[in-house]
Amino acid sequence: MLSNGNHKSSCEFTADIVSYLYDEIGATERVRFESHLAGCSTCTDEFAGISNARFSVFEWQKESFAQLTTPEIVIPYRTKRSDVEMQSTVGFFAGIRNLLALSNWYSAAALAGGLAVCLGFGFAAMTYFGRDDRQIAHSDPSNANSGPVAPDVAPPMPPMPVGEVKRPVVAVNAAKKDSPVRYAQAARSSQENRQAKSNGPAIVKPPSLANDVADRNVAPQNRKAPVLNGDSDDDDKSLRLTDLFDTVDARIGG
Amino acid sequence: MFINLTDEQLVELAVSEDSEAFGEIVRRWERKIFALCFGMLGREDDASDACQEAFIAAYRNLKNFRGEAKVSSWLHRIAVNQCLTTKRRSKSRAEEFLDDDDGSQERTFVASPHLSPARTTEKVERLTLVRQAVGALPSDLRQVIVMKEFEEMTFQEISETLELPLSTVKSRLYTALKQLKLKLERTPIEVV
Repeated sequence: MLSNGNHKSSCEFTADIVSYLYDEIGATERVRFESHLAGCSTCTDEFAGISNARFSVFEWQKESFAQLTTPEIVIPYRTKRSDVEMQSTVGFFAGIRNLLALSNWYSAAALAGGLAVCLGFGFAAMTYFGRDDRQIAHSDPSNANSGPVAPDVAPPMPPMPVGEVKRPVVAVNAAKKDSPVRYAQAARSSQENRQAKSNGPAIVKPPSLANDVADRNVAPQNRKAPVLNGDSDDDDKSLRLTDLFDTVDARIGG
Repeated sequence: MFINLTDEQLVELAVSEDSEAFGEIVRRWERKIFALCFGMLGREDDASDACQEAFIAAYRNLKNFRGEAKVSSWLHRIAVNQCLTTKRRSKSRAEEFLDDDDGSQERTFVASPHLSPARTTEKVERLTLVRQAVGALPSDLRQVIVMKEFEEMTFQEISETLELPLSTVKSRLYTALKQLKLKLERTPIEVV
């Protein structure tokens, strides 16, 4: 039961007056209260008095306060002089600060856009320079006589005494001195060797395990590369490393 | 002419075909009846219509007033019935048609722009009286009034803000309005 400080209301429905007045009552209670209000003069008078008081406050609020604009409150935060100077500095970091001072969505969008642009430039650069390297390697006429480019990619080898192991020394020397004349001579001598070998009848044998075992027992310099198909190696006119070794061995032996 | 007459005397005069007497009744009670209608309907235009129809109904039923109750209670009863009729009517209208009202006009009061200087003075006095009455309330009651009327908070929000039970909030608001009513009745404003 609600008390007014001076009187005690006798009707049980006075507890619902305030809820009904401010339209914060359930549907069932509303119907119950309204049907009661139509027949109870006590509650009707009570409701009328409360409504009048409430309307007076409402009118006062409307007339005196509603048209007032909400003041713009600016809190003067104290800032250090160095901070003010840093903020006024226009530069890269100031731009970053301004960017981060935006709302989260703007910052996220700006960062994502910048990242996408950087990735795009990187991909384009990789594609462009990679294509140029291939084009140079395949179509540059100045490289036609320069021989193989193995010296650029050959791993460095420690200096070894001459005469101890001769084959690698020659190979290294041949690799380091990539003169066209030297490679041309090596190619000619390897072709001569192949022609001398091809004077006899060419016997093409399919590779077998027995041959492999037999090849292992042969000296390394007389070992032959396994033939995997019916084509003879003599048909291949290109410069091969085995031919080069043969040439070098022949010279050393001679 | 009618200032010193009671409401019952005015009704007797109105029954005897004195329309000026009924006009005096309207002037005395129109604001309170409007406040009652506004409290029930929550809309200024609906409350204004219901108030006008309530007085028309009272005028038509003057001869049925037997003097067993006070004129104020009689008028209150008529206004409550009129408001319930209005609510039923608007409810059936809303069910019949699509109601495009978004409720933005609810609980708004637009002061009539055609107030006479005397009415304006009366209004200023009333607002001053209300301000003093609210200021004289105990702080706990005034706090609830301000949160409800000025901040437009719900009972639940007030309850959570003040960490009080919901029933206590309603009780405090009821008590505050009751004390305001007593203070305003104690200092009657002369109706022009």
